[in-house]
Amino acid sequence: MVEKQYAMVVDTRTCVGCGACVIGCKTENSVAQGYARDWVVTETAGTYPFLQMNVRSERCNHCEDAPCVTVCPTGASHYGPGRTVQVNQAKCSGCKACIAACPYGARFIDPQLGAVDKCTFCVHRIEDGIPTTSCQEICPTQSIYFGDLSDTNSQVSRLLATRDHYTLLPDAGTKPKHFYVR
Amino acid sequence: MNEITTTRHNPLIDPVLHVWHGEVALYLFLGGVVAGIMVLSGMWLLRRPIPERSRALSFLPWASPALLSVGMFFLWLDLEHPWNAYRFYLAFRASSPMSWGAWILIAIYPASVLLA
Amino acid sequence: MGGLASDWFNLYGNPLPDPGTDGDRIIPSFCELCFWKCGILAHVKNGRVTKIKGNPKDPLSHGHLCPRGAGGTGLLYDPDRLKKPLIRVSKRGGQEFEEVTWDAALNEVAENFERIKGLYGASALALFSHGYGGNWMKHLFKAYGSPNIAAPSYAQCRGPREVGFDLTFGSGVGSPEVTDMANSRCVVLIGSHLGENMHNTQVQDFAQAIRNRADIIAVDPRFSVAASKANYWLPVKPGTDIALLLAWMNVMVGEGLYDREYVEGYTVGFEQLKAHVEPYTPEWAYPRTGLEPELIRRTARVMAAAKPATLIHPGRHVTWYGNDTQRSRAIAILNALLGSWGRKGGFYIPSQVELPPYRYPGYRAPEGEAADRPQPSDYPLGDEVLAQGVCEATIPGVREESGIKGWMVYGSNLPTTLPNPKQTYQAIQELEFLVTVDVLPAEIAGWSDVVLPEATYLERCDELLAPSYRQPYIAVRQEVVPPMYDSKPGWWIGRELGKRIGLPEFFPWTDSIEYAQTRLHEAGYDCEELQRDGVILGPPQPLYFEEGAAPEFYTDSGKIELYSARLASYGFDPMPTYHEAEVEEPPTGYYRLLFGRAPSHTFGRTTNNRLLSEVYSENTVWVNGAVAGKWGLQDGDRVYLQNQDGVRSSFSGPVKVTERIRPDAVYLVHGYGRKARKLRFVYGKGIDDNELITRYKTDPVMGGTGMNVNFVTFLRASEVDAELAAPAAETEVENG
Repeated sequence: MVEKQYAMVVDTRTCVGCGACVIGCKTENSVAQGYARDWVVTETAGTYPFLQMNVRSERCNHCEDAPCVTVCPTGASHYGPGRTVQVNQAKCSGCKACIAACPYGARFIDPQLGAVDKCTFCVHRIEDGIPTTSCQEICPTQSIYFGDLSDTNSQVSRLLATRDHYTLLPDAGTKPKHFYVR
Repeated sequence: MNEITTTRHNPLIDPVLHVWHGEVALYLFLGGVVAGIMVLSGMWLLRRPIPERSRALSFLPWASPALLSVGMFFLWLDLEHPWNAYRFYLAFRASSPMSWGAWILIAIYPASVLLA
Repeated sequence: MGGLASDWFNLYGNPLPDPGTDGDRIIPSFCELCFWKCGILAHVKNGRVTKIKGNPKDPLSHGHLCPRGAGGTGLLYDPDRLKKPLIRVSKRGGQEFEEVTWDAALNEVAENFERIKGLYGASALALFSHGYGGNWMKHLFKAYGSPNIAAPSYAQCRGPREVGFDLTFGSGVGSPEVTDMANSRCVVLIGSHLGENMHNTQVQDFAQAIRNRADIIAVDPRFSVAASKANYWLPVKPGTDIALLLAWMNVMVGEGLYDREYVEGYTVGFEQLKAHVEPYTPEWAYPRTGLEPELIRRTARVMAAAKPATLIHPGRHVTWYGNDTQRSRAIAILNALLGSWGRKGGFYIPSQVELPPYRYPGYRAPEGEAADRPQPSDYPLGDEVLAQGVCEATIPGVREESGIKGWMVYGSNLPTTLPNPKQTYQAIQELEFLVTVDVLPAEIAGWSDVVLPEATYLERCDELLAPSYRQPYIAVRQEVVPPMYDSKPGWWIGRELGKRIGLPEFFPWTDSIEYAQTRLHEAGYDCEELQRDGVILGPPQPLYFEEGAAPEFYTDSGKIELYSARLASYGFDPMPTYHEAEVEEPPTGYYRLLFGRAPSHTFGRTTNNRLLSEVYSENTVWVNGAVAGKWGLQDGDRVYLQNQDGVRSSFSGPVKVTERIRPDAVYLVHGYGRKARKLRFVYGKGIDDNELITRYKTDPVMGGTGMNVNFVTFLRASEVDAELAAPAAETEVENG
């Protein structure tokens, strides 16, 4: 069997940046007040009245070549199911090397545990047979897609096959598995 | 010009990446001092014939483990989850500078004591 | 993990992370973070609500929620909640209260209700209400006999739209709006900022329209999120929308782009309209709106090409310039020209599940007329009570017969809701009695004589929901967890007050569940099924004329009225007309104050919600980049705003230097600059637009308060703060 390759695709055309993904994630994953595993970015280019705007929901990119895993001295940061990037908080000493290494600012210290925390792609749901991540489930504009890239029939594969897409900071060489379609 | 707004406001990352604080700076300074001391005292040890120890020199080898202890203590303080520090020594990861550092420290520490 | 990496003594085992937030009980209900009433599933674990999800069976949420709905626990567990009944012990507004028992608080309220009725009659007591639980209070007031039952959601929000569409099609657009946006091939938004205004189904439908590659035309002085999704953004000069709408009509009529068959079959007054719009060419509109003629023509053609699946959206908060009914009429007429009412992709014909009312004795006829207008003949087409009018009628001397002596305020924070808050505070000072029923200690609670802490929507059952919608259905609100502290559900508060003022026959049910069971049973529905699933769907009905929905128009003529004889009979323009003199220019150095929403908040109701504030915690003053340059303002600089009448905001807010707004306007998200100190989280954050709205233009047709008619200038916060800190200054912030 081919190893699964979990990926996320955000449709920036329909995303309105409401932040439901953020609140949905925070309650699903009980993320501490003042911290967020996902966030909304609004980027505007141009001069009034000739403007273009890109709105998108961002989170850990679950990179194929993840610098956070590379620099982790204890093995806490590792590749998990579907080649997602996960943190085993029991192994984390909180040295913060991964926070400094992540080009996307996706990681933070969970103030209760003192261990690093970040988006898990909701693997606790996915591996439990629930097909959606919590951000995807809540999203009122249905702009978040999650699935398996190794399955060419999955929604994410089909979206990437048919729509113009990009990743954040491709020059960082991390090979993100979080895509944006426009 | 691009206007960028984000809803993220995670400590250490936002508004600018600021991961490590004074503890690490102090450790780096002390680490440098210790390295210097060890090089100097090593050179002294290697000289033939062994010159007479001045008081400063006899004190010096002891200074390195002492200062290193202080430095490592601060490094330990910097950890957000200090009771998991032992996890450094349940793994060696060649790709991780921090892993190298942890192991080198643990190797150097007894060496510095021996040197003394 | 070969090679040089190792992980001795273990410990390769990496367990899956499990946040453990799944509920041991999952209870369906519907939301109250705004007034859309989406179906939710509340997860309860060890007696605590851990998370709130959308109910996939619910035809409003379809299993998805907006940030507010997802953040309901931030309200439930808000540490600043009202916890016990309170009775005021110092001067009004002094915010000194004594915690009392429910019995003592209710007796105090009942005594005052009885006293006011005895001395002045029932009409001397007014109710302001917003939110679903307010139904119990409205019931109480109808039984009591007061005609003064007002909701700011009418004259301060959607009223003109309802009247404008009703005059044209014989029906309002209601809530949820009867827009069929998911099927539209062209969507035109006139100032409606969907995506920032997060009415869930509306935004879901808007996203579907985007996915369908519908043409989107956004008319807004601000580059809203919706405008960023649009094919055409028309940054119209504020106040000139009617000129644009008339020019569009001119093009459609002039070029013959309208739906001839529909217009001939269903409308009256086309010939009058044709003659009326003839002078309003795009060239005429250009200097007024600032929109190039070619752009006006092209967008008119785009709209016409998609007809009848063209939705010119009626908007929701439409009280802008005092000519709002006429603007809404213009929007309605454009829709009629394109044949979109009753057509797929335009407006569907709604239906609802008929639920018989609980068997009460009939309400007695209210004592007298509502006191909301200077003369009963004023604002003749306003068909609901005007909240600002009731407030005015409380101040002696404003009305010939000033009659109102007491208020009950349910879930509606009047100082930040009614324009010109100075007048509101003056009215409050004149009151003999003020009781507030609310969840949070908003400003109005601080001014009250008695404060009754209501349980949040997650802690109470409520009136059944059977809205007029595309899919008829019934929904139920259930007690997800028992009320915290000493809070009580609205039905209980209403009933206990009713009993105490001699109206027990209006509250014969034991609780709201028994109430719901009885009504459902009579209609032939199973209450247990409803409680288990949260919703029961009724049989679908035809939605469009082509599907068999009846093309019935409840107007005087029985047809769609392009020309309104009714408006003419009251001396108003029978067809929308552009009145040059109505549009005011900002004074030099001043900018028109516009306000709107952030997607994560329902005005001031949610700004103290710490969870929701994770995505938006303070409003910013949107200033065009060129204007900011002129003032030397940098992004993030703090300013106070001062309006044309010299009123300065109580607090400062950060400037957002942006290209996303016209240079002649500034923009604020409503709901900040809060003065209620007991809202400990949001107190003092940002700027309250409402305190700068000292002027408003009343819509002569129905009495709505046009509020986008104020102009503000900037004061550097550092200078104002230094002045305020000077020992001589004694301008203490008014308590709220």
